[in-house]
Amino acid sequence: MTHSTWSQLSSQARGGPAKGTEMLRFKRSATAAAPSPPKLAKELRRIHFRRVVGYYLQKVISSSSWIFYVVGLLWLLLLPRDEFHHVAKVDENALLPGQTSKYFGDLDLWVATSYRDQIRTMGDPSKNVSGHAEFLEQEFRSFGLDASTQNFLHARHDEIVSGANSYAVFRAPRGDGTEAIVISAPWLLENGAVNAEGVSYVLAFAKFVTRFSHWAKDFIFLVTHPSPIGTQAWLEAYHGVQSDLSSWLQYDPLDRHGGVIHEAINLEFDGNGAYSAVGILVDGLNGLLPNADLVTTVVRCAQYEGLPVGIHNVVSPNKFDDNWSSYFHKADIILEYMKSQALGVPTASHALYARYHIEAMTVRGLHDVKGTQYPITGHQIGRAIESALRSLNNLLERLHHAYWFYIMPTAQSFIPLSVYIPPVILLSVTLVIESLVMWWASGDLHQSPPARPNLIEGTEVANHPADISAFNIRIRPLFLPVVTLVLCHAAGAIAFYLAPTVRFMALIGEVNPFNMAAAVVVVTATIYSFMIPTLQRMMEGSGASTRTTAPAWLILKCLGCAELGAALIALSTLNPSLSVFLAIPSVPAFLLARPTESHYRFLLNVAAVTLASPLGLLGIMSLWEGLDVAQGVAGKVVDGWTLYGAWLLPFICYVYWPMNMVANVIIGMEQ
Amino acid sequence: MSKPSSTSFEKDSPDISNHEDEDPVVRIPVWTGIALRLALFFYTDASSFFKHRVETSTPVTSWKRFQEGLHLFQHGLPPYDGGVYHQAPLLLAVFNFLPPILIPFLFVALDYWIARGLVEIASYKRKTLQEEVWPEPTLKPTLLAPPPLEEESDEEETETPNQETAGLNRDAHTEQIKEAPKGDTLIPPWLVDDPATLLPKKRPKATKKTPSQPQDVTRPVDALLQAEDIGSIYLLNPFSVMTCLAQSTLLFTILAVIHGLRFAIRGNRSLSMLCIAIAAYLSLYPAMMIAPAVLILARNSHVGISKEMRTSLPLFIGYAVALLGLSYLLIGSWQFLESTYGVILFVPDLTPNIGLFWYFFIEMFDQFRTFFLCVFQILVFIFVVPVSMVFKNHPLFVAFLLTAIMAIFKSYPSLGDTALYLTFLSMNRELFKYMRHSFLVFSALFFASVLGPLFYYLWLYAGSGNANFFYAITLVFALAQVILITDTGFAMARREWDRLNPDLRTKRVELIHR
Repeated sequence: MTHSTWSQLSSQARGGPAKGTEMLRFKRSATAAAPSPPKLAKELRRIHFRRVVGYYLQKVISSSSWIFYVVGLLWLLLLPRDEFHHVAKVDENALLPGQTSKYFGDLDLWVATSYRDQIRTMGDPSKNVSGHAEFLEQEFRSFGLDASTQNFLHARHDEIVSGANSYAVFRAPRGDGTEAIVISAPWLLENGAVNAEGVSYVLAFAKFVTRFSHWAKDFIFLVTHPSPIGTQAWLEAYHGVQSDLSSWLQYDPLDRHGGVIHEAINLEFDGNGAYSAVGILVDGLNGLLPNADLVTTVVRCAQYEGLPVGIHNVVSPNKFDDNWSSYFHKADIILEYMKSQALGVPTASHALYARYHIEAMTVRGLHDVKGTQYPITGHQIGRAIESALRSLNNLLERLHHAYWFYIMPTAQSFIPLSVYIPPVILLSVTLVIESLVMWWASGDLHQSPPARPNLIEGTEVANHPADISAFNIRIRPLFLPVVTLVLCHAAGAIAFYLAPTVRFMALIGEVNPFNMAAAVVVVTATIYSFMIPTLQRMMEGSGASTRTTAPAWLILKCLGCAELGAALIALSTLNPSLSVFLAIPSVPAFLLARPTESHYRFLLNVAAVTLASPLGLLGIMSLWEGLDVAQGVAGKVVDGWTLYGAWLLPFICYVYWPMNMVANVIIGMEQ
Repeated sequence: MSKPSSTSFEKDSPDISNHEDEDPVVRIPVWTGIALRLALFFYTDASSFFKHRVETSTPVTSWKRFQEGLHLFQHGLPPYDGGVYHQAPLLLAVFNFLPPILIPFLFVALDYWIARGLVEIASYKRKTLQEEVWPEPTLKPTLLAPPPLEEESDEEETETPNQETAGLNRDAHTEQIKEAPKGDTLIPPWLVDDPATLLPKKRPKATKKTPSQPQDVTRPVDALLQAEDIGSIYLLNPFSVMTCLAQSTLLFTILAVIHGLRFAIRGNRSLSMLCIAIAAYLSLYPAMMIAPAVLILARNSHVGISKEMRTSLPLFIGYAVALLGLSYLLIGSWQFLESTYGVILFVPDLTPNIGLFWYFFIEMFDQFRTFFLCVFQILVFIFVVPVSMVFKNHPLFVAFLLTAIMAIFKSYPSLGDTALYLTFLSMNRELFKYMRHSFLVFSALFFASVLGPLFYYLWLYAGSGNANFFYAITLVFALAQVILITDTGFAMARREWDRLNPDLRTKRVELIHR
């Protein structure tokens, strides 16, 4: 950029018509400095200075893009410290958590416990699906509510499962029926136990709310079975989606409707003995979170009733022995939280509400939690839920004040977006910087600092430094890199279309998934580090560096870094946890990837890239947490896409894996 | 939109559309693009997806709105009464009798014709690039180092001879231009077909052909444009694929613009003006494209620009009036003027899009609306005259700048506009090495293309974002495009300076070039 100015200057000074003002200034200062030791004019010095600074800046950035990565990592390690946590406050003034008098009394608790015992005697409903639905519908009707049952069919792998959702609508005595709150419970919990107390609380509240006239919003009581796919069927039908004949899920339309659903609370209490705390689950499908005000309200209401509240089955003590124990305690919770968010598959029924712009969370009973002294009573739970419902009942509009993006180190505090996003972005920005570095490296041939323009004796004309020109920019070959990118994306697309089949084969036990994974690793690594580069050499001649052409691998790496960097940064706005977990292994792999002569470096590159590949990540997971966990996660990810439309599988197959293949190709290309 | 009959004009310029000796392999990407479109149309639901996207369907080009208008029209109702349809009336006549199954094929065919037009424009560009004269420096290469000057001579004395030589250079350069044979297909040595031929083995052959021209190390080395590539670039551009899948009626406008230039290149003033008039009739802003068409016509017929303007402009106006008259006959009232051009100019529909208007005019207080509306619309048109004056020797570059300015500043831009000017940009490949911010621009465009739909999702579906998210990204998109325009403008001016000042060029780089 600078050389053009300079060239005009010098050439105008030499022969061109002396018209420009720049020119005049330059001449004046040059004549002032005319006496013999040739001194550069001010303009010239400035230009030279800029050029030198530019050169060194370029050099420093080129050699130190990894610093961003390291800083990002260190910053992430700071997040468990208390200084970064915001104590939860309720930003929506209308909520007023815990400020109402509660009416949930002994009689209501007695209703709940008697229902619990009745539900227990009904046993496993998987044999008699319509039995529990009939019972629930009858009970709802007996309270005077509009009750109905939705039947649905769900093709799961090799069998067809039929299910039924029972629901009832309570019309708000003080509202116009345009807004609604859902209180839901799955019939069966994830571990197969009957959600006896959860369903009994739903029934008890269905009876309880009819006694009062202060409700301004409709209540919808929903019991789903099986869950969470039942919630999916119910929500789609509620929002008027017709079930597609070719889809995995067939459901009936709903007979009864309430207002627009704004909030939903999902209850999971297994009723096996006393609870020691309640736990909350917040992260929804694809890691979308409910508004922080909902979480804060529920947590506050529970705490006012004296309930210890935990997140991820851990209740944080109020005081810690020292800073380090606090640090490790919170780091553990944050890690659990991020793992759960990164997967983005539904953890409980509440997860599916996020898609319809409904704030939802799950409250579940926890047993034997460390750090809690007293067993909690059903009374407290009921009053806490009532209190939360009263708060939500106060709302005049959707929750919109508090954070939407946060990480929870404890149930009572948040790390908001503004605090956690810099390290997340820093990790992926490394790739963007690296792509810029590759762009520079592929373009110009500056090897040494720019020479000082030397003034010709007795004139105001300086020789132009040899190494600065528009024309020594090398030609950047684009064809080969673009073809490689397209090929890798096509391979990713094939993997995406094969994934459900592979999952099915693994499920029916014909193939050991880890044999398959190993085979895929070997095949992809072979194809991408040997075959594609060889093919390229045959097709296009050499992608190697020449005097006038930059090597193709620089451009390929430039494009690959730009794409992966952009993808990870974009992902960090949706699901920061996933962005972090993918950036940590893939960024160094991409930084290292380059064709090399040394065998040691080659092996290092291949190892880094293979570890960062999706299968490598699964391998690490199976070493870390066990083979079963890794297999379960792989299955969940595929099911998450086929059943609920979670984005993790498409993201991995369309973006992450192809980019990993690109890194693999780069290693095998010509220097 | 019938396929133009080209036989009568090929005699005038036989070397433009001459593809007989070309390798059939270069057509592969074009047919890949066509096959990709057809596959996406018939095997996926991408078409219905893009019809709903604000990036590809604007109120004035959306296919869904067009269907509404067509429905009303076919049932004998005034099509503009619904307040939804804002497109030109004659489009209704085109689709009135077209069976629905043919509609996807029609849009794919439109894209194919656009690509053929672009290929012809690109071969004209290739020809102009070959004919481009790079005046020889008057100083011999041995004298490249500035001659030692006498110590005692003062400033004026040193400058006088230089001014003389500068004058001489000017004369020599114009002489060279005059001497340059017309239609010489000899490839000058600094333009080589392929980067690979830059390797030394082919170099002597090239220089042997032109022994009179010594190798000028100060010239930039360019890869010669392959005309067929430009069509492939257009057809494989994801933005143009999306626009085609969305069945945006913008494609008719693009086709008309491209053919306006194509006929101008063939020297057919009347058809060229007809096409530009159609484009202007369809979406108003392309009226600006008169400027490049007139520049090309003037260049081809060797008349002055003002004289050419005097003959072309009445033609354009005549055609435009005729089109409007036909529309009146079709609709039966002048209501369509308000519903089409009125919507384009006064922007009553503030549906979000990738442009700059919607957010600004949502936020605007009503008393300022008229003023800023004038400012915004003047901003689009104000560049025509200066741009055409500065780059009057490069009509295709003017076409690029004007299409880019339209794509940024028009009231309802979509990605189809972006695809059009990006294709024009790819014709000016020789400018890339002069550009200073290309990495910044293309990174920003890429980031905006990724984050735009994402933030739109966060705003409207997830509910966790708001309108500012999306608008910020459209601002980034616009800013990147503005930087692209200024950067290419600079690159062109810089290259022209290098070309027309051979002596100054040699002085600047008196040392060895790599």
